[in-house]
Amino acid sequence: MSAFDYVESGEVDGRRCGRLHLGSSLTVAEAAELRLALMAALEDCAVLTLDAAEVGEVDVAGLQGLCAVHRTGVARGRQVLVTGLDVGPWPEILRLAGLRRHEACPLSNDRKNCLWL
Amino acid sequence: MRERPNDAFREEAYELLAELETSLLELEDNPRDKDVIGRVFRAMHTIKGSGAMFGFDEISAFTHEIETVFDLVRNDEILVTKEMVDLCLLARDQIKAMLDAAGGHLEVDRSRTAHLVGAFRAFLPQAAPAEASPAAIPAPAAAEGAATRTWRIRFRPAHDIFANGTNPLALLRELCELGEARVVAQTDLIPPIDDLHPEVCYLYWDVILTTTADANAIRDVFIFVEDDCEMTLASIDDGGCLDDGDSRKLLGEILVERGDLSAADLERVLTERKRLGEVLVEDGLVKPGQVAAALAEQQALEKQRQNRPAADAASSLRVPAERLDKLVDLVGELVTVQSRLSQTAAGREDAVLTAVAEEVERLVEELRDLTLNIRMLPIGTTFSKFKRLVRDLSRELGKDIELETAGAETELDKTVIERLNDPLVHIIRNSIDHGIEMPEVRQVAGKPRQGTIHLSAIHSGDSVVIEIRDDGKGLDRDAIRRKAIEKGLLGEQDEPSDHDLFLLIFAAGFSTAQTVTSVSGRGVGMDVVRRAIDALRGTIDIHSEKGRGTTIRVRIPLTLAIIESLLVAIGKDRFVLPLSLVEECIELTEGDVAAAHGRNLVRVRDQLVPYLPLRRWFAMEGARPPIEQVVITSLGGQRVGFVVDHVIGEHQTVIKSLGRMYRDVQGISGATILGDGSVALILDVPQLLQGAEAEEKVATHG
Repeated sequence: MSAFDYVESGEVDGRRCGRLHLGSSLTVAEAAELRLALMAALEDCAVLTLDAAEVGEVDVAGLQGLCAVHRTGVARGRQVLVTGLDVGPWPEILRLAGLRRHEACPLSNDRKNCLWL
Repeated sequence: MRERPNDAFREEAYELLAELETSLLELEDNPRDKDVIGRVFRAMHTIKGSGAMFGFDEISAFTHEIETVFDLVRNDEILVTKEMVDLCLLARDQIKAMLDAAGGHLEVDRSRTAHLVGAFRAFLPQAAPAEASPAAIPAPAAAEGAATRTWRIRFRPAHDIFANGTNPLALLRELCELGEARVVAQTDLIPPIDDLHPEVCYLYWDVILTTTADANAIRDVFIFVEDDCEMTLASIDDGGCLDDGDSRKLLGEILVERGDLSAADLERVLTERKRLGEVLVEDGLVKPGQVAAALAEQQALEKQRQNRPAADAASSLRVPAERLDKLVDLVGELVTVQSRLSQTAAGREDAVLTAVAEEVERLVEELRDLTLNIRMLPIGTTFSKFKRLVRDLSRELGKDIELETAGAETELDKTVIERLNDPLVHIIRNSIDHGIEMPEVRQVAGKPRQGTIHLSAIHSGDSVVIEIRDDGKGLDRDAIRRKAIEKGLLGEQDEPSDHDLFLLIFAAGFSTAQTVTSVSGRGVGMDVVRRAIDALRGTIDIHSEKGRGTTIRVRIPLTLAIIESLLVAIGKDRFVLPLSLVEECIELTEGDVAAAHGRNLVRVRDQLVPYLPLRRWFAMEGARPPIEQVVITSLGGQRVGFVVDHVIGEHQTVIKSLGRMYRDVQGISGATILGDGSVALILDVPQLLQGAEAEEKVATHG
């Protein structure tokens, strides 16, 4: 079984929803697998929720993966959400990584388009 | 000014060493506590840095060795061991010795320094023996000064930085630890997920760092990735340029202020306009991430600007203690003069003079409280010294003892704290040596192997009660009794209460210890304690339960300089009693005296209270008035009255010590100057109480 579990979670407003469980580790070691899992999940649904609550270890490669899938989603008109960023190592990691932002995602000035806001 | 920078450094270093000791002892209990490790490291780091700055190279070099070890501890590379804490405590003492040597003529034991350095190097991983050569020791960077500056750092790792195992987040963390940092990640290089190379680093960062660390210290963070990243560092605030603070105005504001532009017009134009950042992004001149980074920089500067005046206002001032003492003296004089003024004003019916006198009285009172307050220090500094004492002594004796403290924040006059140190050391030593049993003995007695000494301080009225409680074996009643009889303090048939018997251990030359140890038992301890406490106008009390432990309670007045007191008169002479001891005043008629059949007892609400006629005690001439006053005092639960001619009223007493000639006069602890310039003697209530007791005993037995 893969560390990244994807489940369909029904439809909201006629949009297909999916949920990807991000497992416990998002480091450079998992980065290749993470990329594939994210690509597959984004392909499958219109509203993708990434569940990060159980992540215990994360590095820059992991953060980049999340950022990349989000901007791909924005480009394709799909919604990518992350949950669980307020627990475990996340608050500290986001502060250190400079992703706990007050300003919008650099690709646009729209707050709606930033994964981390 | 007498105080040179060197003195300032030494003073600061002594304080840091005291903190360090506390932290180390804490570390011993919680060897994994990051917070404590950080505190130890910072203390070492500061001593090293400022040591180098003021030319204390020996201290700086030595501290560097310990700092190096703690740097590894901080980075989880080595673990704190008991041995390490022991060594650090020794090192602390050595640094203190170096400081002492710098101040006086003492010599530092250099071989000891070398020995410690060797021991600390042994903690370092074996890979780095060459690096630890003495040439590398002198503190490199910290000497540049500790001014707070704000830096702009751009950190752009090479694409393949992950390949050699570097985690950029670790570097950012290290950077954040240098001071207050705002990190802004630049994500613009991150491609869509399909084009993402999982092992390439796309992120780069702008960091705005406000820190006391210098440029070298910041560069050091990136020292291992120098070749794998692009790092630029620029100072955006040289400290001085922020001084203009509020005077920085925007063009619009100035135009409005000058009347050249109406506020409404400005508002309208501004809302129509897009923000500069948006315009620049739209024109493609800058990327949104760059705007975000610039905004973060602006915020950091703004925040620092706001913080500066506040930090200045909150800062403290170092003042030599003698100057404070002088101030207290002067305030004391002022209080005396003020009471003279009040007295004079009361004697004349001059409304204006009375008003002025009242105003002065109010101000002087405020000034007095404030001045005495300046001298107040938390007693905690003394407590932390005891932690070390308990640790070292119990180890020496092979006992396992923990010191618990409470009320470390309780404030007491500086002088009182200083003079309290020795008696408390004696008491605690006694508890460790005689009170707490060996672990095996405790176990047999069904107690935890570890003994506890509980040290607490608490405010109680105008005094502070310090309690030293141990859970040891308690006082040996029979041994004390035997010893007391042997010393002639007690008759063969006497059967005093436990409490009275225990108080005998404070008598001169009293020790029941079977053997004399280096810790205590020479029989000089407890009477020295009592004398020191007496000198502080304090009282001492003891409770003990066999097998359960001993509690010693010391009550100390908050300040030695000025007390609230009751002014009384006998004939033409004036005396004062500390108001805190006075319970009430009652009349004593000739009839009352006759009714007592020659015994010095007076009935106070169905209770007989012994009294001491002061006129007779001090052998004063003159006739007794027909109705005298008895001032009932209470001390340690005992009530005793003092007979005086009349009670004048409350009085602010500025305590003056008596000259050497009068030092041994029984019953007098000092003097004060009254408003009319005459002198009143301060009654030493505890001593008088003993006198009254002795008289009562004679009267009963005789």
